[in-house]
Amino acid sequence: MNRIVNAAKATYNFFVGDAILLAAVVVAFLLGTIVLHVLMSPSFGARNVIAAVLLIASVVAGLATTLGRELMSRKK
Amino acid sequence: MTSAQIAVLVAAFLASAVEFVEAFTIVLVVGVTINWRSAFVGAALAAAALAVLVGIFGTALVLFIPINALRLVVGVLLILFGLKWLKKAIMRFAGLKAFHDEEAIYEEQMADMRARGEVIETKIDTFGVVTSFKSVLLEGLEVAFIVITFGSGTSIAAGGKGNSIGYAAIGAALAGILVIGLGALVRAPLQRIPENTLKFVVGVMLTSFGTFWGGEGLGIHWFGADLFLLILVAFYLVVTGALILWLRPFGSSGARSGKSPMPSSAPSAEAVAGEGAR
Repeated sequence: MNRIVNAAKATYNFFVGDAILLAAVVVAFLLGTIVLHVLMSPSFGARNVIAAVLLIASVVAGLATTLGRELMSRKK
Repeated sequence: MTSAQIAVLVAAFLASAVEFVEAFTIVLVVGVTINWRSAFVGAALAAAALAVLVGIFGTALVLFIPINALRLVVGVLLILFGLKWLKKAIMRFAGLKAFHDEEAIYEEQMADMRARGEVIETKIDTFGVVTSFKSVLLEGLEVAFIVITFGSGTSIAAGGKGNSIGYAAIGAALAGILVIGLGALVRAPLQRIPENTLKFVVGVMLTSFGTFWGGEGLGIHWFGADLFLLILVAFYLVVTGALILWLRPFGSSGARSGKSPMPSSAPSAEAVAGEGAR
Protein backbone atom coordinates (compact mmCIF):
# COMPACT_ATOMS: atom_id res chain seq x y z
CA MET A 1 0.00 0.00 0.00
CA ASN A 2 2.84 2.30 0.93
CA ARG A 3 4.47 1.66 -2.42
CA ILE A 4 1.29 2.62 -4.29
CA VAL A 5 0.95 5.83 -2.27
CA ASN A 6 4.61 6.65 -2.86
CA ALA A 7 4.27 5.97 -6.60
CA ALA A 8 1.16 8.19 -6.74
CA LYS A 9 3.00 10.95 -4.86
CA ALA A 10 6.02 10.68 -7.15
CA THR A 11 3.78 10.85 -10.24
CA TYR A 12 1.93 13.86 -8.84
CA ASN A 13 5.19 15.64 -7.99
CA PHE A 14 6.64 14.87 -11.41
CA PHE A 15 3.68 16.11 -13.45
CA VAL A 16 2.20 18.75 -11.14
CA GLY A 17 3.84 19.41 -7.77
CA ASP A 18 1.49 22.29 -7.03
CA ALA A 19 -2.20 21.85 -6.21
CA ILE A 20 -3.08 25.44 -7.16
CA LEU A 21 -1.56 25.09 -10.62
CA LEU A 22 -3.36 21.77 -11.12
CA ALA A 23 -6.68 23.28 -10.01
CA ALA A 24 -6.18 26.29 -12.33
CA VAL A 25 -5.45 24.08 -15.34
CA VAL A 26 -8.43 21.80 -14.58
CA VAL A 27 -10.72 24.83 -14.21
CA ALA A 28 -9.29 26.34 -17.43
CA PHE A 29 -10.07 23.25 -19.50
CA LEU A 30 -13.42 22.60 -17.79
CA LEU A 31 -14.58 26.14 -18.53
CA GLY A 32 -13.31 25.86 -22.09
CA THR A 33 -15.17 22.58 -22.61
CA ILE A 34 -18.40 23.98 -21.17
CA VAL A 35 -18.27 27.15 -23.25
CA LEU A 36 -17.36 25.38 -26.50
CA HIS A 37 -19.24 22.12 -26.29
CA VAL A 38 -22.09 22.47 -23.75
CA LEU A 39 -23.42 26.00 -24.28
CA MET A 40 -25.32 26.49 -27.52
CA SER A 41 -25.35 30.28 -27.59
CA PRO A 42 -23.96 32.76 -28.51
CA SER A 43 -22.48 31.92 -31.92
CA PHE A 44 -19.45 29.61 -32.24
CA GLY A 45 -17.23 32.60 -33.05
CA ALA A 46 -18.14 34.35 -29.81
CA ARG A 47 -17.85 31.15 -27.75
CA ASN A 48 -14.46 30.49 -29.36
CA VAL A 49 -13.18 33.88 -28.17
CA ILE A 50 -14.71 33.45 -24.69
CA ALA A 51 -13.16 29.96 -24.33
CA ALA A 52 -9.73 31.23 -25.43
CA VAL A 53 -9.86 34.17 -23.00
CA LEU A 54 -11.04 31.94 -20.13
CA LEU A 55 -8.29 29.40 -20.83
CA ILE A 56 -5.51 31.99 -20.84
CA ALA A 57 -6.97 33.93 -17.89
CA SER A 58 -7.25 30.77 -15.77
CA VAL A 59 -3.62 29.86 -16.47
CA VAL A 60 -2.45 33.35 -15.49
CA ALA A 61 -4.71 33.36 -12.42
CA GLY A 62 -3.27 30.03 -11.30
CA LEU A 63 0.29 31.30 -11.59
CA ALA A 64 -0.51 34.55 -9.77
CA THR A 65 -2.36 32.68 -7.00
CA THR A 66 0.43 30.20 -6.32
CA LEU A 67 2.99 33.02 -6.25
CA GLY A 68 0.72 34.96 -3.89
CA ARG A 69 0.52 31.94 -1.61
CA GLU A 70 4.32 31.66 -1.56
CA LEU A 71 4.47 35.33 -0.63
CA MET A 72 1.94 34.91 2.19
CA SER A 73 3.77 31.88 3.61
CA ARG A 74 7.03 33.87 3.70
CA LYS A 75 5.37 36.83 5.42
CA LYS A 76 4.06 34.66 8.31
CA MET B 1 7.48 16.33 -61.98
CA THR B 2 4.07 17.89 -62.68
CA SER B 3 3.04 21.32 -61.41
CA ALA B 4 0.59 19.66 -59.01
CA GLN B 5 3.41 17.57 -57.53
CA ILE B 6 5.64 20.66 -57.17
CA ALA B 7 2.76 22.43 -55.43
CA VAL B 8 2.39 19.47 -53.05
CA LEU B 9 6.13 19.45 -52.33
CA VAL B 10 6.22 23.19 -51.59
CA ALA B 11 3.02 23.14 -49.53
CA ALA B 12 4.21 20.13 -47.49
CA PHE B 13 7.61 21.81 -47.02
CA LEU B 14 6.07 25.03 -45.66
CA ALA B 15 3.47 23.36 -43.47
CA SER B 16 5.96 20.83 -42.11
CA ALA B 17 8.56 23.55 -41.46
CA VAL B 18 6.13 25.18 -39.01
CA GLU B 19 5.62 21.86 -37.18
CA PHE B 20 9.35 21.09 -37.16
CA VAL B 21 10.12 24.53 -35.72
CA GLU B 22 7.61 23.92 -32.92
CA ALA B 23 9.03 20.48 -32.09
CA PHE B 24 12.64 21.56 -32.43
CA THR B 25 12.09 24.59 -30.17
CA ILE B 26 11.13 22.26 -27.32
CA VAL B 27 14.00 19.81 -28.02
CA LEU B 28 16.41 22.76 -28.15
CA VAL B 29 15.29 24.24 -24.83
CA VAL B 30 15.39 20.81 -23.15
CA GLY B 31 18.89 20.29 -24.52
CA VAL B 32 20.17 23.69 -23.42
CA THR B 33 18.49 23.81 -20.00
CA ILE B 34 18.57 20.13 -18.91
CA ASN B 35 20.99 18.16 -21.07
CA TRP B 36 21.34 17.10 -24.69
CA ARG B 37 21.30 13.42 -23.87
CA SER B 38 17.79 13.62 -22.39
CA ALA B 39 16.58 15.82 -25.28
CA PHE B 40 17.91 13.41 -27.90
CA VAL B 41 16.67 10.29 -26.07
CA GLY B 42 13.14 11.81 -25.92
CA ALA B 43 13.28 12.82 -29.60
CA ALA B 44 14.65 9.43 -30.67
CA LEU B 45 11.96 7.55 -28.71
CA ALA B 46 9.29 9.73 -30.32
CA ALA B 47 10.78 9.13 -33.78
CA ALA B 48 10.76 5.38 -33.10
CA ALA B 49 7.13 5.53 -31.89
CA LEU B 50 6.22 7.51 -35.01
CA ALA B 51 7.96 4.98 -37.25
CA VAL B 52 6.02 2.15 -35.59
CA LEU B 53 2.71 4.03 -35.93
CA VAL B 54 3.33 4.89 -39.59
CA GLY B 55 4.56 1.33 -40.23
CA ILE B 56 1.41 -0.17 -38.72
CA PHE B 57 -1.22 2.24 -40.01
CA GLY B 58 0.35 3.68 -43.16
CA THR B 59 -1.89 6.26 -44.78
CA ALA B 60 -4.78 5.10 -42.58
CA LEU B 61 -3.00 6.86 -39.70
CA VAL B 62 -5.30 9.87 -40.02
CA LEU B 63 -8.28 7.64 -39.29
CA PHE B 64 -6.90 5.94 -36.16
CA ILE B 65 -4.99 8.59 -34.21
CA PRO B 66 -7.24 11.04 -32.33
CA ILE B 67 -4.99 14.04 -32.91
CA ASN B 68 -7.19 16.46 -30.94
CA ALA B 69 -7.16 14.21 -27.86
CA LEU B 70 -3.38 13.98 -28.16
CA ARG B 71 -3.11 17.78 -28.48
CA LEU B 72 -5.25 18.16 -25.35
CA VAL B 73 -3.15 15.76 -23.24
CA VAL B 74 0.18 17.19 -24.44
CA GLY B 75 -1.15 20.74 -23.99
CA VAL B 76 -2.26 20.14 -20.39
CA LEU B 77 1.07 18.52 -19.47
CA LEU B 78 3.10 21.30 -21.12
CA ILE B 79 1.11 23.98 -19.28
CA LEU B 80 1.75 22.19 -15.96
CA PHE B 81 5.48 21.77 -16.70
CA GLY B 82 5.76 25.35 -17.98
CA LEU B 83 3.99 26.89 -14.99
CA LYS B 84 6.22 24.93 -12.58
CA TRP B 85 9.35 26.29 -14.27
CA LEU B 86 7.91 29.80 -14.50
CA LYS B 87 7.01 29.84 -10.82
CA LYS B 88 10.57 28.94 -9.79
CA ALA B 89 12.19 31.35 -12.25
CA ILE B 90 9.89 34.22 -11.20
CA MET B 91 10.62 33.56 -7.52
CA ARG B 92 14.37 33.58 -8.20
CA PHE B 93 14.20 36.84 -10.16
CA ALA B 94 12.02 38.41 -7.45
CA GLY B 95 14.42 37.32 -4.70
CA LEU B 96 11.96 34.92 -3.03
CA LYS B 97 14.12 31.89 -3.83
CA ALA B 98 17.89 31.55 -3.77
CA PHE B 99 19.72 31.12 -7.07
CA HIS B 100 22.22 28.71 -5.57
CA ASP B 101 20.04 25.71 -4.95
CA GLU B 102 20.76 21.98 -5.19
CA GLU B 103 20.84 22.05 -8.99
CA ALA B 104 23.38 24.85 -8.97
CA ILE B 105 25.55 23.01 -6.45
CA TYR B 106 25.32 19.86 -8.59
CA GLU B 107 26.35 21.84 -11.67
CA GLU B 108 29.29 23.37 -9.79
CA GLN B 109 30.43 19.90 -8.70
CA MET B 110 30.19 18.75 -12.32
CA ALA B 111 32.26 21.76 -13.43
CA ASP B 112 34.91 20.92 -10.80
CA MET B 113 35.02 17.32 -12.01
CA ARG B 114 35.39 18.49 -15.60
CA ALA B 115 38.21 20.81 -14.54
CA ARG B 116 39.96 17.83 -12.93
CA GLY B 117 39.62 15.92 -16.20
CA GLU B 118 37.22 13.32 -14.79
CA VAL B 119 34.76 11.76 -17.20
CA ILE B 120 31.17 12.64 -16.32
CA GLU B 121 28.23 10.49 -17.38
CA THR B 122 25.40 12.88 -18.23
CA LYS B 123 22.38 11.53 -16.38
CA ILE B 124 19.10 10.99 -18.16
CA ASP B 125 16.52 13.43 -16.84
CA THR B 126 12.99 12.01 -16.95
CA PHE B 127 11.41 15.46 -17.22
CA GLY B 128 13.64 16.28 -20.19
CA VAL B 129 12.97 12.97 -21.95
CA VAL B 130 9.18 13.21 -21.45
CA THR B 131 9.00 16.85 -22.57
CA SER B 132 11.10 16.19 -25.66
CA PHE B 133 9.25 12.93 -26.44
CA LYS B 134 5.71 14.28 -26.36
CA SER B 135 6.54 17.40 -28.36
CA VAL B 136 8.31 15.46 -31.10
CA LEU B 137 5.59 12.78 -31.13
CA LEU B 138 2.77 15.33 -31.43
CA GLU B 139 4.48 17.46 -34.07
CA GLY B 140 5.79 14.40 -35.89
CA LEU B 141 2.23 13.07 -36.11
CA GLU B 142 1.11 16.44 -37.45
CA VAL B 143 3.83 16.25 -40.12
CA ALA B 144 2.65 12.72 -40.98
CA PHE B 145 -0.92 14.02 -41.24
CA ILE B 146 0.27 16.85 -43.52
CA VAL B 147 2.14 14.44 -45.78
CA ILE B 148 -0.79 12.02 -45.99
CA THR B 149 -3.55 14.61 -46.45
CA PHE B 150 -1.62 16.83 -48.88
CA GLY B 151 -0.37 13.82 -50.86
CA SER B 152 -3.62 11.90 -51.06
CA GLY B 153 -5.67 15.10 -51.56
CA THR B 154 -3.78 15.94 -54.75
CA SER B 155 -3.95 12.34 -55.89
CA ILE B 156 -7.74 12.40 -55.52
CA ALA B 157 -7.94 15.79 -57.29
CA ALA B 158 -5.99 14.31 -60.21
CA GLY B 159 -8.51 11.50 -60.51
CA GLY B 160 -6.50 9.03 -58.46
CA LYS B 161 -3.56 9.17 -60.89
CA GLY B 162 0.02 9.33 -59.58
CA ASN B 163 1.23 9.20 -56.03
CA SER B 164 1.91 12.64 -54.53
CA ILE B 165 2.57 11.30 -51.03
CA GLY B 166 6.20 10.74 -52.00
CA TYR B 167 6.59 14.38 -53.03
CA ALA B 168 4.87 15.57 -49.85
CA ALA B 169 7.28 13.37 -47.86
CA ILE B 170 10.27 14.91 -49.70
CA GLY B 171 8.97 18.40 -48.89
CA ALA B 172 8.58 17.46 -45.23
CA ALA B 173 12.03 15.86 -45.09
CA LEU B 174 13.64 18.98 -46.60
CA ALA B 175 11.86 21.13 -44.02
CA GLY B 176 13.14 18.85 -41.24
CA ILE B 177 16.74 19.03 -42.48
CA LEU B 178 16.53 22.84 -42.79
CA VAL B 179 15.08 23.35 -39.29
CA ILE B 180 17.58 20.96 -37.64
CA GLY B 181 20.45 22.69 -39.46
CA LEU B 182 19.31 26.13 -38.32
CA GLY B 183 18.80 24.80 -34.80
CA ALA B 184 22.37 23.52 -34.68
CA LEU B 185 23.56 27.04 -35.55
CA VAL B 186 21.63 28.78 -32.75
CA ARG B 187 22.56 26.14 -30.14
CA ALA B 188 25.90 27.68 -29.17
CA PRO B 189 24.64 31.28 -28.60
CA LEU B 190 21.75 29.91 -26.53
CA GLN B 191 24.14 28.14 -24.15
CA ARG B 192 25.72 31.48 -23.17
CA ILE B 193 22.45 32.82 -21.73
CA PRO B 194 22.32 32.79 -17.88
CA GLU B 195 20.59 29.65 -16.58
CA ASN B 196 17.65 31.26 -14.78
CA THR B 197 16.89 33.54 -17.74
CA LEU B 198 16.87 30.48 -19.96
CA LYS B 199 14.59 28.60 -17.57
CA PHE B 200 12.29 31.62 -17.44
CA VAL B 201 12.10 31.68 -21.25
CA VAL B 202 11.56 27.91 -21.35
CA GLY B 203 8.71 28.27 -18.85
CA VAL B 204 7.11 30.91 -21.07
CA MET B 205 7.60 28.73 -24.18
CA LEU B 206 6.19 25.56 -22.59
CA THR B 207 3.19 27.45 -21.20
CA SER B 208 2.57 29.12 -24.58
CA PHE B 209 2.84 25.86 -26.55
CA GLY B 210 0.71 24.11 -23.92
CA THR B 211 -2.00 26.77 -24.11
CA PHE B 212 -1.93 26.64 -27.91
CA TRP B 213 -2.05 22.86 -28.29
CA GLY B 214 -4.40 22.38 -25.35
CA GLY B 215 -6.73 25.01 -26.81
CA GLU B 216 -6.63 23.32 -30.21
CA GLY B 217 -7.41 19.99 -28.56
CA LEU B 218 -10.35 21.62 -26.84
CA GLY B 219 -11.64 22.87 -30.19
CA ILE B 220 -10.51 26.50 -30.03
CA HIS B 221 -9.67 28.03 -33.42
CA TRP B 222 -6.79 30.42 -32.73
CA PHE B 223 -6.78 33.70 -34.63
CA GLY B 224 -4.01 33.57 -37.26
CA ALA B 225 -3.50 29.79 -36.70
CA ASP B 226 0.11 28.95 -35.73
CA LEU B 227 1.08 32.64 -35.74
CA PHE B 228 -1.00 33.05 -32.57
CA LEU B 229 1.80 31.22 -30.76
CA LEU B 230 3.91 34.37 -31.05
CA ILE B 231 1.10 36.44 -29.51
CA LEU B 232 0.84 33.93 -26.65
CA VAL B 233 4.62 34.07 -26.03
CA ALA B 234 4.56 37.90 -25.99
CA PHE B 235 1.52 37.93 -23.68
CA TYR B 236 3.03 35.49 -21.17
CA LEU B 237 6.32 37.41 -21.22
CA VAL B 238 4.49 40.63 -20.31
CA VAL B 239 2.37 38.95 -17.62
CA THR B 240 5.30 37.16 -15.98
CA GLY B 241 7.38 40.33 -16.17
CA ALA B 242 4.59 42.14 -14.32
CA LEU B 243 4.50 39.35 -11.71
CA ILE B 244 8.27 39.75 -11.11
CA LEU B 245 7.83 43.50 -10.64
CA TRP B 246 4.94 42.84 -8.20
CA LEU B 247 6.97 40.39 -6.10
CA ARG B 248 10.31 42.22 -6.16
CA PRO B 249 9.67 44.54 -3.19
CA PHE B 250 9.01 41.45 -1.01
CA GLY B 251 12.14 39.53 -2.02
CA SER B 252 15.50 39.61 -0.29
CA SER B 253 18.29 41.17 -2.35
CA GLY B 254 20.63 38.42 -1.13
CA ALA B 255 18.67 35.78 -2.99
CA ARG B 256 18.45 37.92 -6.11
CA SER B 257 21.85 37.22 -7.56
CA GLY B 258 21.03 36.58 -11.21
CA LYS B 259 20.10 38.66 -14.19
CA SER B 260 16.40 39.47 -14.31
CA PRO B 261 14.65 39.67 -17.67
CA MET B 262 12.93 42.83 -16.39
CA PRO B 263 14.53 46.28 -16.38
CA SER B 264 15.43 47.51 -12.91
CA SER B 265 15.95 51.15 -12.00
CA ALA B 266 18.51 50.34 -9.33
CA PRO B 267 20.15 46.94 -9.71
CA SER B 268 21.44 45.54 -6.44
CA ALA B 269 25.15 45.05 -5.83
CA GLU B 270 24.49 41.31 -5.51
CA ALA B 271 22.74 41.28 -8.85
CA VAL B 272 25.74 42.88 -10.51
CA ALA B 273 28.26 40.73 -8.64
CA GLY B 274 26.28 37.57 -9.31
CA GLU B 275 26.23 38.05 -13.10
CA GLY B 276 29.19 35.86 -13.78
CA ALA B 277 28.74 33.60 -10.79
CA ARG B 278 27.20 30.75 -12.81
